Amino acid sequence: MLIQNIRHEIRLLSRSSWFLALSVLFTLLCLYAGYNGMKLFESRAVELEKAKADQSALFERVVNIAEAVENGETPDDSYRLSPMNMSIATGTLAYLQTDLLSAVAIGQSDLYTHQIKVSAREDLATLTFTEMSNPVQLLFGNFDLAFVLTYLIPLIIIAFTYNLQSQELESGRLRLLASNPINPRLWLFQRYLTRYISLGFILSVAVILTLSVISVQPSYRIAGMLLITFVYMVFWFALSFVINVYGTSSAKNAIVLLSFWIVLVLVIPAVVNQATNIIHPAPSRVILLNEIRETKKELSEKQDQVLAEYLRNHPELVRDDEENRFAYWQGFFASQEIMENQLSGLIQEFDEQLAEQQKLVNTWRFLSPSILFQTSFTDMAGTSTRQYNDFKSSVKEFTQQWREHFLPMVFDNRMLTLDDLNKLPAFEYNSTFESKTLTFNVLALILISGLILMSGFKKNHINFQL
Amino acid sequence: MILHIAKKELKETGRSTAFLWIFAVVILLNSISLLVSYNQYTAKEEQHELARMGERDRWLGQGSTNPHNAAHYGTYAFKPTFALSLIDPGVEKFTGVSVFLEAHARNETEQVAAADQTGLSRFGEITPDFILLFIIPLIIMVLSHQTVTREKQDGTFRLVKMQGVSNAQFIIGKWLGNYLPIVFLTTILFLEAIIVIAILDPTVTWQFVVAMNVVYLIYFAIITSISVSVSALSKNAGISLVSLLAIWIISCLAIPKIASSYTNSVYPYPTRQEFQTAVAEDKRQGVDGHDPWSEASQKLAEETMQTYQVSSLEELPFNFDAYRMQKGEEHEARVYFKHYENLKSVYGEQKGVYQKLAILSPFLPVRFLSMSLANTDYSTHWNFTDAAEKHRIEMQRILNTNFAENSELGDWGYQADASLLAEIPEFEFESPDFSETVHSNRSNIFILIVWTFSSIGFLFIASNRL
Repeated sequence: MLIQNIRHEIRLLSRSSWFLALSVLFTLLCLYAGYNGMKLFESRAVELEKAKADQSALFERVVNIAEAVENGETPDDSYRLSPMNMSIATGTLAYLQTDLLSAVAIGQSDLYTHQIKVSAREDLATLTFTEMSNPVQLLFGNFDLAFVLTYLIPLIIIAFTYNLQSQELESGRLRLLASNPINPRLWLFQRYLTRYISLGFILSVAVILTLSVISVQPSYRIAGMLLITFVYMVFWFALSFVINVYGTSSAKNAIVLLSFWIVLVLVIPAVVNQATNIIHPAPSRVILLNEIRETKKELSEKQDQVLAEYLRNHPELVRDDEENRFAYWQGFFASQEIMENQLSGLIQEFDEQLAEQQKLVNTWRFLSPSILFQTSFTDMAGTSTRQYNDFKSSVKEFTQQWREHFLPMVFDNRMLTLDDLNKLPAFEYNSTFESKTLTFNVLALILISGLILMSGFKKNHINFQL
Repeated sequence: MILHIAKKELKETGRSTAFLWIFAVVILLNSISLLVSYNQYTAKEEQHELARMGERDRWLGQGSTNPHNAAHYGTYAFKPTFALSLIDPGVEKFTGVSVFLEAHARNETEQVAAADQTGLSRFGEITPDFILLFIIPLIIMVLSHQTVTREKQDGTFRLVKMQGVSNAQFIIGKWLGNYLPIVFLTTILFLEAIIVIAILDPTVTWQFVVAMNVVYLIYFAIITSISVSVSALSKNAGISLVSLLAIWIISCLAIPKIASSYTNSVYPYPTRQEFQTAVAEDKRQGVDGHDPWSEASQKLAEETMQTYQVSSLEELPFNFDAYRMQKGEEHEARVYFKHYENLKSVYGEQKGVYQKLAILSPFLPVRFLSMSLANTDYSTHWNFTDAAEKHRIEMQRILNTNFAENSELGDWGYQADASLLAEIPEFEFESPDFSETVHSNRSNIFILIVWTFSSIGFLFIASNRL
């Protein structure tokens, strides 16, 4: 009987033109979403390569000057070997390696920059990490695979399952079925299982096709992404199952399921976001700015006014003949350090508040399967806020390291040599992927789905009345 | 007869506890979101005022100083907050709120709020515009998806027809019956907002609020027409609801995202790094105020000496160092103008794509009109940054002119009187008036009118097919 039911279900699906049409539509949507992500990835990769080439050219120029000086020549632009010129004007490039999987979930990658010029002159507190972009695009978001899976997959599931029992009830077949020696819950569960496997198969084909079109190599991250997607699907199937069990008419089931979709996918994530901002608001950047300016003013008043002002405006006029040829910069770096120390509490508050917000999101993520899905999916794609914050912290740390590397030379009043250029610190950053969070989110979704399913199985009585 | 049908519809809505609950929840959500926005707005206003005054005090507090030193010291321009941002915060959280105005450089706006939030910020926030743009259309669809199908399914449609009611009368009555509760709800939401805005800023131009209210009422009229038409054309309530939901997802979620992805792939912005490199390259081609040895500076010196018929720079009736500074500023301002105009033309192209795609979704023109009326759209941001740049250029002109006219070549120790600083006015930003806003939104208004008539046409087509 059970096998017969499954066969019947498969036959029904294969004959349903709706199912076939929607499968094709879904595959096309996945391909289009993958194409969008791919375009963004490609342009980012090209820009990064160009930025790297530009930076290499700048560095090569300095190396050539150093070689000329080593050979006893006195090139016109030997000032480029000064520690300030090297650490500020030439600087170096800190970048986040482009990752093909970011094409799958654009996440925060359109908001943040992937390459940043590191210069010893930068104030760590005011470093800009956002990218130049049309804010309307940021407001609307992108049509990527993450959007298709987070928003559209639940709707497709609802469309194909909202009436699996109610339709039988409305047509009177449920009574006939109940007269057969079969557990009606099990029968309904089989219908759901068959549809889950069918939709899962189509989703796998569509996603694998999309990934192969954008040339993503198989990896444990892709496996993780597929796993959380399948589990996310389980949640929506389970919800639809229980609504069918407790519901009556197809129309009511549809309304209830759609209401769940609106609340779980649209409303709760927005409410959680707003709540985190209210409970742990980020300190005001405007106030930080005010403090920075005030501190800078106080520090600058303490310095030797005439010399500092003169040299600040005209570093090119600093001569090589006196001990104080880098005097302004010595004062500058010293002021910068004092300022950062003075404001460290305020600057730290931003990171702390963001960490508190994230903690709150982590606690409340169980309220919505979309949050559980989205956080893991973007994390596996390498485009989550956590990863960009890690990148930010690494860049800030490196900027400090970069500045400190040149300080001894500034205070020694000496120019850089070829040997110095070979020993410059290099920025290194590799994104990390939180498999622990993924496992946790997967388990949480399984648990929630299991509880929902159980509540469906618990109902003994079948309602035959519409 | 139309009124009878509408009255019956209104009575049913009034009796439905589900809808009364939905209305109550929406009003409650709106009240909470207004309260939260009110607190955030007042805190932001306070911080801005504090920072603005602090900045002005620091600027004037420099006392007697070298004008070019003051130019490097710089000042900040703060973007004012607008009371209507309470209803629609638009793209504010992605644009930043202040610009540093200094010598030689046009800086980008700083303090992008979205960068201090978690990844959930991309799901949106429960603000009045979220309720108006997303939630109310959904309520309309749920409210009216079975307004006609139920009459057909129950057979009451034939009874109504027997009373001599024409299809058009029937549809208009249904439309009115479904639209009036929404007008009532919208009025309450706007009244709440108006009270809060009146407390915050009694000087607000009420034309903007009224226009925004009208725009949303038109938007809801369009959605009601589509919903009633779909209900009339559908065989049953289930199909009607699924179709309407598909329309909602496509127009409110998918099309804006597709538009974003498409504009970004066809008309991409350069990266910040790329943009800055291009600006630096162009800046190198002209006069650099701090580089007297460059080819451009030498040429300027020769030309100036020729014009004033003198044989040395010392003989000039002004300080050539300061004159060169000003010429450098003018060159740099032209470079920035060129690059920002290029950026604007990319933005113009992107805007064109959004406007074309607005034909596919009434959400887009309403979204743009709403942001524009609230002064929280991207154009307002452009206006602000342009005004800040204009202010910066004027500031440099005043400072360099004073330097040139009151000192001699090489006199870097020149200290201008403190009164010079007061000659630089405080930065003021005037947002466009109502007629300018209407004028700049001609295309959005036109598309909204097209949508209005199309939806009415759709309604009549549906009535003919009843």
